[in-house]
Amino acid sequence: MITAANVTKHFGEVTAVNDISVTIRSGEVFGLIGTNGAGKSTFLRMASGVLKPDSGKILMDEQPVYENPSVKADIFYIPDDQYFLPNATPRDMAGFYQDYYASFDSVRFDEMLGNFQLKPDRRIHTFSKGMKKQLSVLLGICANTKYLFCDETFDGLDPVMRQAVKSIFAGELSERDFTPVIASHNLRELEDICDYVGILHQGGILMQKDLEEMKLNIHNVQCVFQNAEEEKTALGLLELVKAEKRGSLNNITVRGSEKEIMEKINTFSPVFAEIVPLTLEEIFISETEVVGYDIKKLIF
Amino acid sequence: MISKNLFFKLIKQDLKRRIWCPILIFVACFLSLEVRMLMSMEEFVRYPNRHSYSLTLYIREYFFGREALIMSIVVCMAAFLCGLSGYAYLHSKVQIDLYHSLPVSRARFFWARYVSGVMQFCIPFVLNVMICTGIAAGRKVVTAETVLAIISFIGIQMTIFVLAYSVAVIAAGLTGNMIIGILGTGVLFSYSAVLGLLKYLMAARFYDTYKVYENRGNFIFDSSIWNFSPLSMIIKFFSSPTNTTMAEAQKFFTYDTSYVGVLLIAAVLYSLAAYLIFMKRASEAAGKPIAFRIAEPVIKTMVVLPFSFLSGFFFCAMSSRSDADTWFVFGVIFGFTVLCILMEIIYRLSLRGALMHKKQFLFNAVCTALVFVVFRYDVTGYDTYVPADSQLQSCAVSISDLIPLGQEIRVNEFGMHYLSPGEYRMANMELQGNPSVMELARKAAKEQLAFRYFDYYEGIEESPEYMETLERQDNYRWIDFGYKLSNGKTLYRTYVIDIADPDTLRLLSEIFEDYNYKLASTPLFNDSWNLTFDAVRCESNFRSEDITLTPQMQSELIGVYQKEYMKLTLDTIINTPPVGSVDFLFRDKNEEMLYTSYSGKMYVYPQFTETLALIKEYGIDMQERLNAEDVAVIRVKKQNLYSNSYYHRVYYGTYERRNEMYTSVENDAVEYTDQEQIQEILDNIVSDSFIWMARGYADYYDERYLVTIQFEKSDLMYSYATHCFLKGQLPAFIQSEKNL
Repeated sequence: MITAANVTKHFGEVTAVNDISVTIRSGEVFGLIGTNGAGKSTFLRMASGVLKPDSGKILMDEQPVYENPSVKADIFYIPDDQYFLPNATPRDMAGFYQDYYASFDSVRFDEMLGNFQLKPDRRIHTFSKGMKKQLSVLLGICANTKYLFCDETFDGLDPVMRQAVKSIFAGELSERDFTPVIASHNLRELEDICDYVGILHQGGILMQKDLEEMKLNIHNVQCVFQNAEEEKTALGLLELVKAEKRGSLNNITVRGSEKEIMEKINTFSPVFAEIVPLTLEEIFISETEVVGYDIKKLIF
Repeated sequence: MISKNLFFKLIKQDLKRRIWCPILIFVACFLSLEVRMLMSMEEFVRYPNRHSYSLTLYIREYFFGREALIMSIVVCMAAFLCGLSGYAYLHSKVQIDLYHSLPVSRARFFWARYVSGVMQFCIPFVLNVMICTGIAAGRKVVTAETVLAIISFIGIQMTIFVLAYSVAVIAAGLTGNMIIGILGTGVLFSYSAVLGLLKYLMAARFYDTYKVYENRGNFIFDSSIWNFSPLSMIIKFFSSPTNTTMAEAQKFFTYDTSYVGVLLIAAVLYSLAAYLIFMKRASEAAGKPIAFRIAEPVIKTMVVLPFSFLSGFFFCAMSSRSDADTWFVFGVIFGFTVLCILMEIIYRLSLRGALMHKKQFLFNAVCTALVFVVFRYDVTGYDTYVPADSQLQSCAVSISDLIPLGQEIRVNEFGMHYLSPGEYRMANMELQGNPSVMELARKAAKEQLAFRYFDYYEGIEESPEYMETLERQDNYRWIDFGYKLSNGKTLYRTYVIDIADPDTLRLLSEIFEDYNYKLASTPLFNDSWNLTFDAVRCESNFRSEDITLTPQMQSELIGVYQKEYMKLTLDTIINTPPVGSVDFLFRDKNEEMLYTSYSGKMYVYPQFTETLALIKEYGIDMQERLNAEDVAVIRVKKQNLYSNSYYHRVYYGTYERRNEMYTSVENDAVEYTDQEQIQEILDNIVSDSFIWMARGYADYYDERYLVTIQFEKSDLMYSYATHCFLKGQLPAFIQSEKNL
């Protein structure tokens, strides 16, 4: 488990991370969402021991990360702009990491390179951006570390590769103690992989929630009532987060379980009522609007 | 689990990654060791007589000794290359993200890189030295002593490498950008040397009495400045110490072994400093100009101040009026402004930042102005300072141009160590109990006489001020003092004195006639030098001959000369032309150069009767005059004042009158063949070879006419020697000669 408590980091006069407290449970995929400059990368660099927090502490399984090689042996950090040794090939990079990560699985690495159609002896500098990202992920997976920090790793991957990487993650999660932390400014990329999500904005964390829990407790309903009076009464009974109306069709976001919501609506024998699945994006838009933020401005 | 051999893996990894580094170093070492050695050997084989020492000696003492300084330049370059390339990753955010996220402690990572850098130099360097040793062994010039010299050579070069390498690592750690890292390396490597240079330039410009005698005047490692920069240390280490005793001087070049320890300690301290900086350095400093913001104002001030003044000196050097303050002040202000703006741009990495930090700008401006005022107006009283008698242990004095010693005193058989007369006297003279010494020093410091320089223009001679100044300065002479204080320090001052002032001349005379002054004024009388000579050159007005003397005869000659020299008065020097000179010579092993003088000419005056008699006994009659019948023809030419003599007047005003450059007039020389006229000329001329050094205090030569004698027999020495008349002894027929 990763615990960050009141972590702050300044770069000169700029506060990159401001008093962040977050808990990342082992075995879950944690998504770190925020705009550019929100502090995602800084947080990941601190979590991986590259940067030292100005205040607060980051513990990994209750051990401090900074200048702690034994803890860092459990972390593999894939930065946004991964550095590869000059003129190195994928095989060279595997050799490089093998010196640091004792459990680096070079057999599996070769196998995965084949699966991803990456040539082991081709110079990395001739790779495309997407290929480099794939290679980074493969190196990270094969390092067999408990924690894998990915900073904007899914950017640049085509949908097929993204799906492939997601399935590798899923496989790793089911087979071993694996906790990926994925930072991105794109909610859509994370929604089908993350278990838990934290939103960062201007160095501070806005919220962190279990995605499933969030999905179970908030729903989008499209419904048409018999008359305006019934409509008004029905909506009054619901815990509305957001309500829109086009003609007679109500498009509402309601807090509560699906069963609970539908029971309340069906009491009024609506002409039409249907639960429509909410995207992660929509959930966060709704949630953050409640706490006073216009999430569209924050994320998109 | 991380491998226990991670440290070595890291070294191997770094070596593999930077393999170009040792390859480049190997090539550089190959060129500066093997190729240079082979070239030198070839020269020894082709021209064996060019050297006064054997190849074995050359390899041991020169190649792996004195010339090690050449290798040190290559070593420093290699150190910068290894240091900056090894820690260049600190300047790159993407590389920092990789290396600092790896499960390895920074300390281990630092030392692995550090050792790897050292190995990248050490392996190719030692390999090249071994090849060199093999080449030398092939020529059978390697002895046990050579092996020791080679081991010392490797040890010293490695120490220098670590020193320079650590500086580069420190610079890489202090900065976040490669260009600034390179600049920082340069500044750290040479900062104290720059301060030494600046101090020398400032003092030489603004203090009239400034004089450097220590370290052979090598301002790069001024002893009053903390020589923390490797450049000062290395130069000091390789500089031959001023050998003031014969025992020291007789040694071949040796390293200043007492300084090896300093180099070693410095190398260790610099390495530790590099480590501490590395550990304290934040990863986010990558890409920023400076890693520690707290150091920013300090660095700015430390760079802006000295380099502003150096800019002042640069503009002075460019200007034709190097003595004027105008261009100096302009240079300082210009340099200051440009540097301040440049530093801000470097720090901000943007032109917009150029005018930021006005407070610091103001602070630096005040500091610069303060330093200027302190030097320009001698706020510390440097020129007027004379130590109190109670502070003084002894005093050394060197009166310039009074005794015609050579400019350099040769002090060992290899011809590598030379001392100026001033250096010798400052090191060997300890005058005590002669009140005239300090009285003259105080008088000179109080009067603060100085040569005044004029900007020459056509017709300046018509200016009474100019002519009066030149007339007055005609009597100005230099005198150097070395105050040896009770606290162990020695301070040097040089003063201008006016010998037209009777009091000054009296004091000067009392100093010159001090037995200890004379004894310590030339190494000839220094028993501890225990010199023996190959020949003595006896030169008189009409003859110059080298005579070989036995050691007993040499001692006898020096003893008699010394006895009479001790009785020589300043009055005699001023009023009596010498009849000859003796010059003690070494025979060079090189056939092309027969002799090298070790002490310069020592004049023999008519009062030195015993010396003259002894030399006569050895076969040379210095007072011998020529007979007209030996001479075929005498040519007399009149000389004119050289048209540009103002240059000499202005810049060498000491001898404004007597140092005038004469050139032949366009007309031909007048030839005299009449026996009576020849005899009259011969009776009144003296050799002009004594004029040059006697000019300082003597005024008895009439240099308007140049006399050339052509002898009947061409094998006579000096068959075309030149002479001049003594003042007031110009024959009437020459004076009235219309063709002259």
